[in-house]
Amino acid sequence: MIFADISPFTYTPGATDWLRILPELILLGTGLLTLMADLVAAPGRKGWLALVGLAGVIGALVATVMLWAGGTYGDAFYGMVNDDRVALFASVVILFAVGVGLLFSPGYVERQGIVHAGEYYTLMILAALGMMLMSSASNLMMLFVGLEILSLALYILSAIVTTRRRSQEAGMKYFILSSFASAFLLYGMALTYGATGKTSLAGIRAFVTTHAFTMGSGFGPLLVVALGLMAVGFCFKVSAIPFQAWTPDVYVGAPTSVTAFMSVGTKVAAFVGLARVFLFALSPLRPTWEPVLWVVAVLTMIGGNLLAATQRDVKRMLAYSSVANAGYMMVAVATHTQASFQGLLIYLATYAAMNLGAFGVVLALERRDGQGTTLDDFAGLGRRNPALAALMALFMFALAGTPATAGFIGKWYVFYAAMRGAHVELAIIGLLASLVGVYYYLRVVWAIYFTEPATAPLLVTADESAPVHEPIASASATATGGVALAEPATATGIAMATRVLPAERAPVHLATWLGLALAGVLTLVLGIVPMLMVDWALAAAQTLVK
Amino acid sequence: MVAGDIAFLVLATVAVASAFGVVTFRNPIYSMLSLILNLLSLAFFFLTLESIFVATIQVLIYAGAVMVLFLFVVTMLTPKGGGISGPDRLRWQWTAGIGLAIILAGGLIISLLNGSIADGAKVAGMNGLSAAVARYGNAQAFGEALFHGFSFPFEVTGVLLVIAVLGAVVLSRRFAHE
Repeated sequence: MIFADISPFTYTPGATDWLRILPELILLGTGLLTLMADLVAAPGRKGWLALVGLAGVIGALVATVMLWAGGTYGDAFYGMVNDDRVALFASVVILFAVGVGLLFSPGYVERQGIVHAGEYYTLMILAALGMMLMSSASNLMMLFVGLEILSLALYILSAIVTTRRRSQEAGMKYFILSSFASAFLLYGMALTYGATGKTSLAGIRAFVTTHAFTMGSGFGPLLVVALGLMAVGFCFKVSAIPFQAWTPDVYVGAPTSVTAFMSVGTKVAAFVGLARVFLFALSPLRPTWEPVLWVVAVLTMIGGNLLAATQRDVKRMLAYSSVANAGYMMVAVATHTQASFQGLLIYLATYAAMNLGAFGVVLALERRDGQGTTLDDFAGLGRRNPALAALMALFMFALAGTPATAGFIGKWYVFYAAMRGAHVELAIIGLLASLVGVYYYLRVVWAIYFTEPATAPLLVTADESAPVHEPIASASATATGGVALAEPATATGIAMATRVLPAERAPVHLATWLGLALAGVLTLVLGIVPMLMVDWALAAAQTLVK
Repeated sequence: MVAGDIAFLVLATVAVASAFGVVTFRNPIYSMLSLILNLLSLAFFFLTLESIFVATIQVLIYAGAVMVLFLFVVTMLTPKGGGISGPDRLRWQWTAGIGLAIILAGGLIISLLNGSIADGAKVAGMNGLSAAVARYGNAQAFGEALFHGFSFPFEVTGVLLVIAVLGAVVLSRRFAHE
């Protein structure tokens, strides 16, 4: 317990402590600055707040790189956080995600009529702060506080479109289900503390290493229960099957810019947290937790891909694809070698680039009423907007794992590490599951280049013209195509369509283009010359998994 | 059976039963009152653990201040007659939920009865705690832990509160043109 450790209570934070959390401090300052700047921003003209946020993100990025270059990592604030290579690597990915998310925001926030624009930017930055704190935590307490910061901010961000019921529903669903999962995680942490007397990850590891682990007596049973509860909590946060039920509804209901950011950021934070607890602190108990994560990985890879293959709404398909990707990452955790952890970090970085980009294109196509993201809406995009079409094709090929894109590099390192780490079966299941992935990713490319829009400009589908307050479930019912307007709603449908249409093909905002270009360039660069990132990931993996 | 065990069993029964009451009562006022009972029994738990300071705080802040606020809000917002009326639409979910809860509780109990807390943990935890309490007193030991060892998470919780305030603004403030 802490008293034994900190007695005689002489600890005071020094300059090194503050230096180690410099990126987080910059981000915190930026978040509060945007909150204040919101006061002077005129309603409806709050896009420049994103610029303020972006400046802070770049500042934090510079600080992170400087800490990496400095090379002296260690604990700060009495072993609560640290700035080891893993934390810094994760910070770079999270900062990239929030940076691109901020670039996506100004045009989208304006188009969707989000009235709480000021709070939106603040919450986005503070969510990133929570993610960074979670991934740099070296104590269970800090891990949990970081997780709560990011979760709370994301609940609100999901529900921030106050005029759209789907968004409100997403926020509520996420809040209730996710706090339930947080309770599981917290219970697991409490039992871990009960079993080991420590909350610091290094302390838990030392205790588990030096004490004999037996199921029948000693600290065995307590720790097994704790392991199970924590696994539930983490698997929920990374949306692994069987804890994925919230993912599609929340990802579809939330504003797309938020979805893009959270699908990447939450995964980075939760997977690094998971790795810190399972691969580092509880690493000696590997035989106990490995089968659990093995099953979760297999279920998630197969289930996520099969569910994604049945979707016709691209945003929903991408939500299920993020479930499937969680499965590939889980393979890396279950393999539990240094190479597989390196693979996990590489996968997180490559996934950030291509997934942010894919959601970015969806965001650019989405209309004011939140519709316009089905496969039918992608039909003929190749001629309507060649640049956007080319980018979407690139991201789809990358997500499918085509060589010379980032997606291939991520999958290669994860599956290769699984084969080397005596989990050939996981690699084979993963490869087969990715083949299903190829089908539904390339179906989007097919829609873009080889199909024509099924409707004349004014005859939109019944679904597109539906009122804004529309239940989530019908999103997949679009399949019937355009002219089949046999429903009684036809007349009103066309009437409403004429009202909606002028705003439909709004030009893509310059900042959105910039974000898409960033994601596109990174998807290519990480795919063609990945060596620098691979080396960094190895350096990071070496600090955590010995 | 020693007195401590009996106290634990009584308190545990009250705590679980009142927690169950919070979610099953259909009148929100009854739910609130069960929650107060639940928080009070938690305070007694802290007392049996000789953590007098935390027990006091639990009563003052949770069972006292926070619950008064809750009651105010509930009485202000609940329509006349109060409570949820109409048939329960979650019938099979109830059965399934109770079944799964029994399985989970059974699993936890079986696992926990098959072993005890490690001796090492007892030494590290209990002895360290007792020593600190004996040396500094209850509130002091708590304060030292909160403001020395765990000062950083404590400070960072401030960010959490900022987010909560922002959430209240976003979710409750409505604009005229909406």
